[in-house]
Amino acid sequence: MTTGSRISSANMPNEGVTHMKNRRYGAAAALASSLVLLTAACSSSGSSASSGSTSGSSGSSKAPYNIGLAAGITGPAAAIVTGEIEGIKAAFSQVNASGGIDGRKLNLITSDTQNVATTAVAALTKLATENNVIASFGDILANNCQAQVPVAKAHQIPLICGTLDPEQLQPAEPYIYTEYGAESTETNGMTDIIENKPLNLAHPKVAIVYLQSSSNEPLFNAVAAKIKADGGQVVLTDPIQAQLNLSVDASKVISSGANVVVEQIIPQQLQSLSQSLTNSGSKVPIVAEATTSSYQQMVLLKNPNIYEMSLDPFVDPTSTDPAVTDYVNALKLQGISGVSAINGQSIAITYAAAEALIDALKMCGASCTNTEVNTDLQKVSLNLPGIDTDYSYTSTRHYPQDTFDLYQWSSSQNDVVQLRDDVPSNPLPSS
Amino acid sequence: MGALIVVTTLTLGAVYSLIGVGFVVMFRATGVLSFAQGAFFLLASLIFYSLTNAGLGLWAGLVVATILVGLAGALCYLTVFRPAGYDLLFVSLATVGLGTAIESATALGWGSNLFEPKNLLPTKPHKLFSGIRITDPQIVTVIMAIVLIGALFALIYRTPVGLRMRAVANNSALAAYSGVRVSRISALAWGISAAAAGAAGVGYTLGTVIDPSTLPSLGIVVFPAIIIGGLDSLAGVAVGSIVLALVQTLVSVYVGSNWTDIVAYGLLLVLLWIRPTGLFGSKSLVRV
Repeated sequence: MTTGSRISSANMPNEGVTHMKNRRYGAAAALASSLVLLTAACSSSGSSASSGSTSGSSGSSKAPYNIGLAAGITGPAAAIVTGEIEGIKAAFSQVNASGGIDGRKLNLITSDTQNVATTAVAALTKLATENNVIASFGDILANNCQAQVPVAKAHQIPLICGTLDPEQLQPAEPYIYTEYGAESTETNGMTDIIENKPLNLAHPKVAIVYLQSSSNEPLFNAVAAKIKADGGQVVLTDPIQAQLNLSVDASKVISSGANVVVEQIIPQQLQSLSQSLTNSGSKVPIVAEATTSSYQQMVLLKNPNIYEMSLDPFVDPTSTDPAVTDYVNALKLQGISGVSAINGQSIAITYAAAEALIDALKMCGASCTNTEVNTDLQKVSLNLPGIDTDYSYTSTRHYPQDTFDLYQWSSSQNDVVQLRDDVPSNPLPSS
Repeated sequence: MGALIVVTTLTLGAVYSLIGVGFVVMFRATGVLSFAQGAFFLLASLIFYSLTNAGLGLWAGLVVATILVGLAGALCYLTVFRPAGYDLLFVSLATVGLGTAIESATALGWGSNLFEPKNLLPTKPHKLFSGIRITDPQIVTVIMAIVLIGALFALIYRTPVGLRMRAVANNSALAAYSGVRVSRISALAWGISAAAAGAAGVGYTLGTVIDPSTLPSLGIVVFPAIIIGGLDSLAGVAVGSIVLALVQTLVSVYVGSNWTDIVAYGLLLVLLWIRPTGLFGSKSLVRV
């Protein structure tokens, strides 16, 4: 059989005239489909007049503050970025409802990076040059946001990334911030959970299972070193890749005699691992690293042997804390309600990041410049009881979180429960 | 460990087979290598999730989801690819865009968070012999793979429709001269291929979460299996899937889980060097 052959209507006598007519209809259908796709593409890149806008009514006499978001709205991180947009909109809508900051409302302008580094650069450049954003949220993926850093610095626009590699966070770089600290700040926390509350294992035998990547290797090397220094043993180190069936890895964990597992794997892999362990009768506790943890994951897995460190605070919608009430009401306006929905990935943490940006804008008032926003961001210290009690930046630390939370599924309460809110982080190693 | 290797190979091989048959049906019937199978896979799992959450049972949900995704596949062909003509390389490459469009549409329709289908089957494992444990979802996946491959084999090799499909794939111009309605057959092939991916999506998500960000990538993970087996052979995709699953499992057990992809693709390259058409592929096949 040959490939690449083109057939013309002349070669298809049986379909002759009918084929010609069908080609016209087909061309019209193709054109219509293309127009639909083009419209969807244009709407996804965002504009102040479309769905990304929170500028409010046209009655405002002052120009709004344009805040950008250049992230993977489509692609593998779409779930996280969707949560980010929801969190930002929730924060902005509250400010805009009360008239904005000194009469200037906040306008979110989104630009899709499609999770590609080159597109990420172009997206942020567009926001800086065409939309004149005063600050921007960057890509959720470290390498893509890293690509955006030179653009932010060149245009002097404060850029809040999802996360960055440790080398980009220490020392603190001008105009560059993150919502999440680097993974290597979790070392002390992971070992503290094992050696102290709640697991209290004096000389643990640790199995480490993780997605092989440039950011995970340093973290788990550091965890292994600390475990050994504290008198424990690392009985299994199991780097994995994209496979979704971890039954073999579960078997290795059992064979190794580990009495605790630390992991950084995606939800489907964690489900496979935990189910395989459970099916084998093992109740070995699993300490889940923070960046892949989520309330949703815990609710889906319903496994009390999993202990999830969390950067994303889990919000209790029944809390009477004013900060929680505001947050829940703001999300309700977007049609987001229920404990699982309001704890969707990245919503709460980005809400906190947006509140930090709002605080910085409030500090400089109605005539903020981007450099003033950058200066004031380093003075922000947020306390949102029930959401995030320690979101802050300083001149030498451009990432938040001094502590992590720890959660566990409770079968008796049929819900996620918080075990700790004081899991320590460690400073980034100086580069 | 032997029991684990057997069960893992069987269940993983079944998953790969389920996904791979859609590729093979499409290629066998139209000559198109569709990169949108992962997206149809995801679409079906989300439709199944919605249907079962609305109260539909397992088998009814499976049938409806499969049919709907099959219709979507046929519609994609009729509205986009048929007007584009019959340049197979172009169409194959365009399926990348189709896959992206479908994934984006599912994100708009369902969102991008995790979804948990209802536990329609118990997940407590059955203890068989020699320490082998297997769950109901795993058993259903294996049975689905056998039934689907058998049904498609019968369709393609034992029915007049299948004969026409093979004729179109072999030489569409000659098939047209012989009275075959090429467009209709191609639409049917697209529909069946998408439906096969849909059935695979449902089968795979029994007893696991639906993660829209990772599920479509399974469409690419299975490529070594279909190349090893032969891109136009249904029997080949089954054998290739078992071979791939066995190799990956053995490597995972005795070498390390991070070596599974390297070894799998290395095996693919070696096999292509020795036997370019795969174990069961047609020798007359010219690859794009």
